[in-house]
Amino acid sequence: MAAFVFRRLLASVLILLGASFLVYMMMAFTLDPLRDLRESRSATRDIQMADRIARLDLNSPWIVRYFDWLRGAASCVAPIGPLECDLGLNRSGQSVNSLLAGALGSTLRLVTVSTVAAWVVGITVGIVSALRQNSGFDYGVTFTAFLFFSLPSFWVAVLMKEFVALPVNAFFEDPSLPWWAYVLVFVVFGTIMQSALAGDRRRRLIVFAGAGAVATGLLALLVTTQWFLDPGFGYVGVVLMAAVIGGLTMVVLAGTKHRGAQITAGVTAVLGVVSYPLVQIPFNNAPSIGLILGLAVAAIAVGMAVGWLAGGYDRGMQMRLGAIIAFLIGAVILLDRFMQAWAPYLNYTPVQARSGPVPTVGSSTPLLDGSFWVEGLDLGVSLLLPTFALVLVSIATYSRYTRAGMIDVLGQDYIRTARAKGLPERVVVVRHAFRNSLIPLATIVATDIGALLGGAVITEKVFSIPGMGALFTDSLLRDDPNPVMAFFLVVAAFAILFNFIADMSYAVLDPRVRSH
Amino acid sequence: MNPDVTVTPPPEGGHDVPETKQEQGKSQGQLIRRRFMANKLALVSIVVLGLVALLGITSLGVGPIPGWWKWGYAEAPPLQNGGGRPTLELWPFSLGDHPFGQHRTGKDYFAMVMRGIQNSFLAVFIMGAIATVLGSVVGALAGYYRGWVDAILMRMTDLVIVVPVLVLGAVIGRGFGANGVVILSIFLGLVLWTGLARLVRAEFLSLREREFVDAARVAGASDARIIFKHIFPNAIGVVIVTSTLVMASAILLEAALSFLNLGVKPPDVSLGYLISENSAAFKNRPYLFWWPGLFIILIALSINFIGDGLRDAFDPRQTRFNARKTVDRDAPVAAVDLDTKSTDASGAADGRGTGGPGEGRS
Repeated sequence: MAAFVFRRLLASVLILLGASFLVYMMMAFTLDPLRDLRESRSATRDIQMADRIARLDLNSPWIVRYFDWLRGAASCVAPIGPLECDLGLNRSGQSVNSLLAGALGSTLRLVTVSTVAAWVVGITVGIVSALRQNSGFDYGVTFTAFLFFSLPSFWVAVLMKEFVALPVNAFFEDPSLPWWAYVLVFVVFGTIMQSALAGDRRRRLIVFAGAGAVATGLLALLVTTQWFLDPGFGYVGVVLMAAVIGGLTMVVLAGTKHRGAQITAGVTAVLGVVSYPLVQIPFNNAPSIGLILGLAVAAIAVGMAVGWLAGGYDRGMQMRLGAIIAFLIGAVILLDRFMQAWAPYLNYTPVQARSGPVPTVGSSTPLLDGSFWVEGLDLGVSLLLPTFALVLVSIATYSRYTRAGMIDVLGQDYIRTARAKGLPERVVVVRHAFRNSLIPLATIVATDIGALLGGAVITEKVFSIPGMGALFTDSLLRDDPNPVMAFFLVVAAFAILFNFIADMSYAVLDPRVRSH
Repeated sequence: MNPDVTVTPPPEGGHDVPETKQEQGKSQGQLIRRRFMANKLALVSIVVLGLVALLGITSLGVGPIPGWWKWGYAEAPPLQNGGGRPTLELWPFSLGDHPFGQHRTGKDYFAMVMRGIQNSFLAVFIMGAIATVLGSVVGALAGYYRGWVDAILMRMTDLVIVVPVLVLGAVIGRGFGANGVVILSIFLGLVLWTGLARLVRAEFLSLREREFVDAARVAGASDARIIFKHIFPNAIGVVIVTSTLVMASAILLEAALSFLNLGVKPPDVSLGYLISENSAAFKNRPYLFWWPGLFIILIALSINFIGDGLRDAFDPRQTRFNARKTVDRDAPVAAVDLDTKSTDASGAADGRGTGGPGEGRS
């Protein structure tokens, strides 16, 4: 194993070297860093040119420049030796290191949320569509996935600005909805729910009407009480959400009859509700990212402890159940706190100055200067559309792969064995099939994370987000080689790293691979 | 004499067994064709793709041959119909002078979109052809010879795979975008072959161990003959399916590059360029935005559906299979399935890099 890891690492370093040489060579032949000055009529043209030639060392042959660059860049990848990490200067003399740091931060904020959302939704949709294979729901999902594969993302993004951002902003100007919006919500929600739950015609009709009515009624209630102008769950809302979360998670993981699971879910939910007023104190007094992360860890620990203390014969499952419920309730409480900042946020001058609360460009509102919660909310709102655009495409991919993996697993012999020995379908799906269907997905998820750090080149351009992708395209269009190389280095290094992790995780998760 | 042997003669002749006599034997190709024809969505997609291609090619003509449409894509007649609004009427159907409206310089938008379609098809076919040939050859050589040939070729593939397609494409587009769509597509084809190479290599690695390859070798066939006449026809399914999906991602790659101003340069146009140029004017002239997007989706969606249909036709194991009806399936199929998967798990998973749809478009 150690020899294998070492060989792989060595090969990775060589590949990174080779690829960087390839890209540097390509850029040496395609980019002309003096192009704009050659065409300029400025009086100081010659001085500027000499200046830039000296700065970028353009008189040396490109191969010399490559090794120069490599000397600085090598220590960024492997920080050994006396050299400092130095990715060179850009065309106008700024340090690429600092440009890169800013861009990476922007990109991470953008892609983290969208990636996690895409996992959750994509995997759920994929599994439901595999379980209802060849049903209307499955065909609907398949068609939608193919449609999203085939949509140019920039086209979707422009449509989203027009048909999501504008109506939402108009809604906050005048918080009322036309009648057809209610009909639309009724039909869409009812259709999705009835095809996901399936059953005979009678049951489908009941589900359609019920789900549609609940969704429409809730929406009407929220609109008429002007909830959207000052949202929040309140104590009643949190209690209701906790009950729903606890109940649903328990039913999915353990069914309704498991004594230990009942105790775990109940106690965890009650603890979550009790903690709601308590955590408002630190939230209001000393909010920080660290606090949120700490509370999340604490919530998961408490959930696991409850599961363990509940005793019984299946403590592992109970601990998982408790952790999931605690985490979800924690997320609800956090969301509630952000919602409380919504009404103040709407009253800030920079927010009122634009045409509505949802901006169509940029990754944050300049000159906002609000509290921790307002700033966080602003970030979330600014990244709403680009996140949505990214999630749409990724959901399509993930749902397809999950569906294929799940169908593959459901056809295997051990699933037949599990059914044959009389296990309920829920247990077969959740405990036998689901986990193994995730194994091939681990590879895809790992490779995707590596690729995502390169930023969403097109999405960033459409929404003017100063991330990695924007750094790349802008520099390329300005014939600026060093930032492009820095971008490449980050993308390639992470792609190789996560490919490596994917291979390792495959060996860990799938014993069949290990034996080879 | 053992009586058992005489009671059950081996069914060599075939004519002794009534079941095989009644049913006409079908070749592999016939089976695949029949399965593909049964897929309505794929058939409809072929028709749609054909119609779009026909429309694009005949309306403007090719090279010196003129088309039936009255305007060229670079002509700029004066604006009509209130600043160039579309004259297309669906009921009663009439095209009018400028069915898709006019660009703000007066150019006929129908002609521009048709030119974009032509360029998209040209780009897709060039990229697809180059990627297919290169990927097949590299994969076949690596899988057949193994050893150091395999090592060198696969490290080369890794080298290209490490850099995202869009990044390589963008650098290429910066260099060659101004040289026209043909040159650009040739260079882009040179970066799209990696996924196919890996899949073909995996296929060759398992096929080269089969008996028919030994038989050919014993009969004195040369390496080239074994590779191209004996093994390659057996790997054709992977090649066809993957290159179709490469084409679907190629059209989006071209559109994305044009959108980033790294693709086709004016006066020539492409569908991506038209969208990019007109996305800011969505409020005033939405029709300039809808038409090119609609055609990109039509083309990409059709190619994706055709690819999916081909995959089902070549590899029917995965589809039309209901988990609840596993009872009457025989176990050996599942065992074989599992075996091929575990031998090249990482290769197949990585293969989606360029083969899978949705690549290079985030």
